[in-house]
Amino acid sequence: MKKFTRCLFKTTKVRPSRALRASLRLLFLSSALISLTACGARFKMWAADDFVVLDEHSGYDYRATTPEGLVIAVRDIDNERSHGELPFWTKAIEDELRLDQGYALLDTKSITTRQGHTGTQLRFGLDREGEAHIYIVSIFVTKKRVFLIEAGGTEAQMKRHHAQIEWSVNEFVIRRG
Amino acid sequence: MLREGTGSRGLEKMWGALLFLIVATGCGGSARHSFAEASVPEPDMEAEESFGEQNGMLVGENSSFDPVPMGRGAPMAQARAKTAPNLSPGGDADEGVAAGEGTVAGEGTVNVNDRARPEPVTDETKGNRKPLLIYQAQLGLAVFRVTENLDSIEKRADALGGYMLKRGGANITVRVPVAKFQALVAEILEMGEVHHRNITAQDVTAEFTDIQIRLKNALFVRERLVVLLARANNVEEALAVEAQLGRLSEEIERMKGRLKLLSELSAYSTITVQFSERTSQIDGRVELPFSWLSEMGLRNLLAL
Repeated sequence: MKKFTRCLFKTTKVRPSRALRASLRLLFLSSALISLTACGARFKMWAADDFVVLDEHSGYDYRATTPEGLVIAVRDIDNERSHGELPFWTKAIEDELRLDQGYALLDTKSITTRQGHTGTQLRFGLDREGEAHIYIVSIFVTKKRVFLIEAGGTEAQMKRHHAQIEWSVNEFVIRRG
Repeated sequence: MLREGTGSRGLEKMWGALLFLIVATGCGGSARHSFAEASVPEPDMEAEESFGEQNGMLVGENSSFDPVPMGRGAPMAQARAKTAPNLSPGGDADEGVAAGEGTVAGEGTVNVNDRARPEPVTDETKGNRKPLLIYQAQLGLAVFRVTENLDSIEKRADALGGYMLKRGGANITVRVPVAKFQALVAEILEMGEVHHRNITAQDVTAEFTDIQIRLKNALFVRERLVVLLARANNVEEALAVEAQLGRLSEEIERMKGRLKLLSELSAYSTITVQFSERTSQIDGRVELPFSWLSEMGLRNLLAL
């Protein structure tokens, strides 16, 4: 780092103050840190104001919840080896939930994010402990990754937060697919 | 002239006696009822009526055991009224009774007239019957709001003239008139994701017809036993006949019960619906080698 600053100022033949040199070092370090962080996240997810982002992801790559317990989460799955396309993953998820887990498929629709990525959204219904629940899975597929945005809660909660969930899905950004 | 006058009076007496006999036998015939009036099934009455008509089968009020005075003093008219009809093709009830007159040969002995034996049912008579089918449907669906859907099925069955047979957990069994069966099944299948459906139609026409024949024969035999009872010479004979009558009456009631059951089962179709919870519905389904698939669902998502 010292060599870099010395080299930089040797060419200008100006002797910088110690404070300036320290500031430049800090700036360089911050830039490097920011670039490294950006390399780690392949997507960007925004949660609406009613949500709080959780530190504990429990198998998800992102998870946020409302005070009542409605959860929205993102899975980032490797697709580089499998090369599965959107219809394949849609069918696999649909069958898993319908046939193996007993969910009722209520709706299937095509969705496009503001960024321009097209995916499929599946809406399922299920009774849990005598209460109707809704589970929505939005699927986006790139050559290397499969992104799943899952949202679920009681039917009443899902109705109440419908707009926020739709907004989060719409704002979902794929950085490196 | 005198001779002539005596002769004409004798002739008048003969005619009078003959007329009396005809009227008496006619009364005996009219006391009977057709098989259709017997207390067997309601839904397929049309078929039964035709069956009774074709076979000239007459049962009447004797479908349940009614005690007859024991011993030799039983009135002849009663015995005649219970005499079995002629069941030969084309023969009507009156002819039957007329033929039946000659069946009581003498005191204590009864000859069963061959002409009075029940006629075996031919394919022709069977061919006239509508098939009796028992429809059953077993449906498995994944639905949303199980309780509401269960309520909905119960109400629909009621509205279609049916009824709820059993309800518990996520299952319900309803019975609806056979004409409404297909419509209700179609409605239920629209309620959610169908995991399995099993619809069967069991043809019970042959069994129904067989029981009818056996019932007819049993009733005929009972008629004969009643006559025998009326003609019993002593208590021992009467007791023996009564024992047979008792056994036969039980058998008749059993057959009538079975006929009624078959009629009811074919008149109403049974629909059993099982709404699924979060359990695997299809055994042996190929599991894809992506472990994250099985981690999907609300259980993991909502585990905070």
